[in-house]
Amino acid sequence: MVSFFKQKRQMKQRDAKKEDQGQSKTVDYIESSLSANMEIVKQKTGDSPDIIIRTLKISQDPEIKTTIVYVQGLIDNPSVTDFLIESIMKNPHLSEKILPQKALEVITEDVVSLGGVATVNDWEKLFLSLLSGDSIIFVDGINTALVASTKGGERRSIQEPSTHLTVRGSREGFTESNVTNIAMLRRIINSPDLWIESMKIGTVTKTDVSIMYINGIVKKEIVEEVKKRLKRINIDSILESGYIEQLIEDQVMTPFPTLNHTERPDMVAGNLLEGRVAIFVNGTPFVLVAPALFVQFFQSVEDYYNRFDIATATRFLRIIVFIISVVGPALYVAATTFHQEMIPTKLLVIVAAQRETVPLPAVIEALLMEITFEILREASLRMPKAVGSTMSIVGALVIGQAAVQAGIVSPAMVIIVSITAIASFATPSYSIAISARLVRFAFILCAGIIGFYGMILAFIILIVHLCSLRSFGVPYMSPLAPLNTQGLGDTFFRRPMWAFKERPKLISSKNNLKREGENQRPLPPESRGMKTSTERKGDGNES
Amino acid sequence: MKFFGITILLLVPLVLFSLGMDILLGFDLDNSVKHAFNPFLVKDRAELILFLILLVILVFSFIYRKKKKDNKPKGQQ
Amino acid sequence: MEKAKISGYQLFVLIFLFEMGSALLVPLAGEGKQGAWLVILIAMIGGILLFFVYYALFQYYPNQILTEFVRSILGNFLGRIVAFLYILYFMYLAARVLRDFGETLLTVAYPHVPLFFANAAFILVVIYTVRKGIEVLARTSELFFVLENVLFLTFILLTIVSGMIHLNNLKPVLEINGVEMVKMAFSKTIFFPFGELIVFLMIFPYLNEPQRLKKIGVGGLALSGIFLSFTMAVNIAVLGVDLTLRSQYPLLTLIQSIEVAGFLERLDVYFLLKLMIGGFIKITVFTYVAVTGTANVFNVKQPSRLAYPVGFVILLVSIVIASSYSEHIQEGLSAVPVYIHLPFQVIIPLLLLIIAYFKNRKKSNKHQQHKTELKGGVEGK
Repeated sequence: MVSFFKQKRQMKQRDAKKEDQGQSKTVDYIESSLSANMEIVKQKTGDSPDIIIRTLKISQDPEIKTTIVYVQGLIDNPSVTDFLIESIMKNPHLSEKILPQKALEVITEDVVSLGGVATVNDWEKLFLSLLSGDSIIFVDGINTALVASTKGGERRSIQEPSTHLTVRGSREGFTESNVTNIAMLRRIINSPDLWIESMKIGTVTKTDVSIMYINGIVKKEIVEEVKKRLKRINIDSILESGYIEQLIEDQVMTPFPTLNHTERPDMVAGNLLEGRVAIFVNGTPFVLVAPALFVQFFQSVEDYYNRFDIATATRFLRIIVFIISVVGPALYVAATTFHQEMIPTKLLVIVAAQRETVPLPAVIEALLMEITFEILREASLRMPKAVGSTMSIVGALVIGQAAVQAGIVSPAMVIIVSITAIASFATPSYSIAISARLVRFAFILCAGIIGFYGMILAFIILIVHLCSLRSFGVPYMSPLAPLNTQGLGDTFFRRPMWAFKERPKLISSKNNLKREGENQRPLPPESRGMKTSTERKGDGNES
Repeated sequence: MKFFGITILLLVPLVLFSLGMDILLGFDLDNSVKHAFNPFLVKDRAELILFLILLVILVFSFIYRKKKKDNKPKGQQ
Repeated sequence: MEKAKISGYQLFVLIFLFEMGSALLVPLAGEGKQGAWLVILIAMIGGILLFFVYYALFQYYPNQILTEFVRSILGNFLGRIVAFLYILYFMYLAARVLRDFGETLLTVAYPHVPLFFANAAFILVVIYTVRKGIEVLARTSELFFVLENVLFLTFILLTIVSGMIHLNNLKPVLEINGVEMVKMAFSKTIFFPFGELIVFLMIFPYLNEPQRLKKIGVGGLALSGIFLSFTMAVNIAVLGVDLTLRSQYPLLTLIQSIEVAGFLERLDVYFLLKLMIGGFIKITVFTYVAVTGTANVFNVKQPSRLAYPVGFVILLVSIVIASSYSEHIQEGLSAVPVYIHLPFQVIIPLLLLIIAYFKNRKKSNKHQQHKTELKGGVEGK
């Protein structure tokens, strides 16, 4: 409650500040003199060599000077040379006599053979287009410029995503370009209801951020909330969608992600069809999806591609894996330090014999091994690939075997840490796996201080914390708490495809929940049914 | 200060109440007072430190509130 | 009052867990011997009757919590005093449960840990939850409800599988006669745990579907009563009357004696988990109610700021309340039901109901206006 009030106050302040800034801005307009304009361009860009200024002459008597300005590398070379420069130089319309005032009109209507052409007259918009890859055409004596859409240049091609790997499903992953990414979604969802809204965020980087949703399925309030939060952002740069994520999430003080991110277009499509909103950020292949629920992080797109029994089993496995990765070492610490009586006697004898030579208490041992593991993991992530194998040898041999032989750690501890490590990588979502790692340390500490009591307290706090989270107003633990029986079919269970009658209630718009028609359950052909078999014999395939 | 007052207002009757319960059960007043404050006299060091930390948090929570009240008008300006 | 709403299911779950809370652990209605389970059921019926008293009060003031409508009934000054007494009552109960819980913990698993430490760690968790508000508490209890039931089912299953249930232990059911049973039920068991439902008068107004409250309350009480009665019956069936009565925590003794397939044994942690979930919900509900009540009586604008002070007081009182466990138990058995539970759970609510009845009958027209005014006042806060 306190935090709620605090936030509200902060929000008010922010809004007020924003308004101030909006009023203080003044707009600079383009001059009519070409040379003056060029001076401004040069001065504003610091005369950077990649800004190409190409001056041409059109019309005769009087000759009119025209300048094309573009940024090398950002433009699509053929379209600038063929459709812009060449057509301006060789076009018959332009060799005739034209009035200077009409020149721009003629160029727009008769000369430039490109799709997107627009006029601008203020510098801010002009630079925004120029620096995002458009070509600008100035004509001497006219205080308006022409923006020709010539975006292009080298980009990474569409490749298989490196996260959220699946055996079955599309092999396409998002790229760094928003245009490509949005097009990929358009290819999947061929509906005019797929709506996109764009905005520029970042006072310096002017990053292109688009939100996408399916009109009619999405809840209006969620879209409004997303837009409101995006508009509130006032920061110099957006380099990755993580910036946006951290600036629009519901609660800051939590180890758990309240927005999902993915590299897979099919995953985004699936989420959009459930009524979620996707946020595309130019320059990163990771697309944000909001709102995110806790159970969602244990789901993979492949669950929907596989049959439901397999998918359900896999999901349960993932939950077990998550629990192991959170409480594994803590359980060991608690059991060996405080609750030896709970370990079966034979096992206890083995563990005790191993621990006999170990000079450290179990908590320290566990923390030491966990930290060692984290170091190894971090190092192998950032190392050049060639060194990676050395790393694994050093890690496995030196730390694993040698430490055990030297009697610094017990073999049981090594086993526990290894299982935990593997478990933490078996979670489909990397962001929840990181949270689990962080929470794990808290559990180890609690278990080290007061055994199971500490662990259960930590568990209660964890549950309370998870229940207190919201993602764009939707309770994080739904549909488990608050319980929503309709949504339960797609949590740890995955109901069969023919039983997906409705979209999730809390996320999708209330008046468009229906997902599939009646009687979608596939049946064997009637001739094979038990009823008819007495009357009619089968078609004899079985014989 | 209001919160401090409320805390005292809640604490005192409850302690008196539990003392009264002791007397009701047949202890005399001296004994029950002794009983009531026994746990605070016999404390090992860790316990004492924890108690002091909790006390400091309590005091801090009173002060913290005060500061926030001061901040409030500033924020609104 | 917080601006929050909880669903009917959430309230049901909250009532269930609250009732089960600490009652599951102690030999409830132990003097009923083989008929203990019957005594619990009788007490449950009494509890439902009490619930109707509370329900009737709630009907008169559906938008006000207890500390608020007490003032509407008794006038501002007297009402405030009674409301304050109720807050003290809730805090005292919270402290009692905390003490129970801490002592149990120490006896069961941590003989060397100081009581203060165990209680302090627990109350910090409670404070954290109370600060989050009733909605979060309700959602949390939904998850714990599932966990508690899974634990309960596996425990029953393990007990049956390990072949420890001897139904002969339950005979003769009527070792003590029916009249004595009813007497016992209405002099002790009804107050703990069923009568403690009075704290929910501070929570009922949050319900988003008040018309279903009757079903929810009766359902929650009945289900928890049946569960408690069933657990007690299993306890006696397995351990026999003597052992059940002698052991402080029959459920623990029962769980400790479970042994299946040579490796499923010593499931103490099971008991610990059950104990802590029950204790947690119970103490949190009491503390939450004390916090909102205090905020209401003293006109504190942001109740969550009271969570820490109130929690701290509860912690201190839980230590001061008794010098030893035996004294604590003795107080709990002999003095608390008569001198504390009886007036706060039965006498005051009944008086309030009678006054409310006459007040509302006299000026039912005027009351309508008054009610709307008060409603406005609540929303204004």
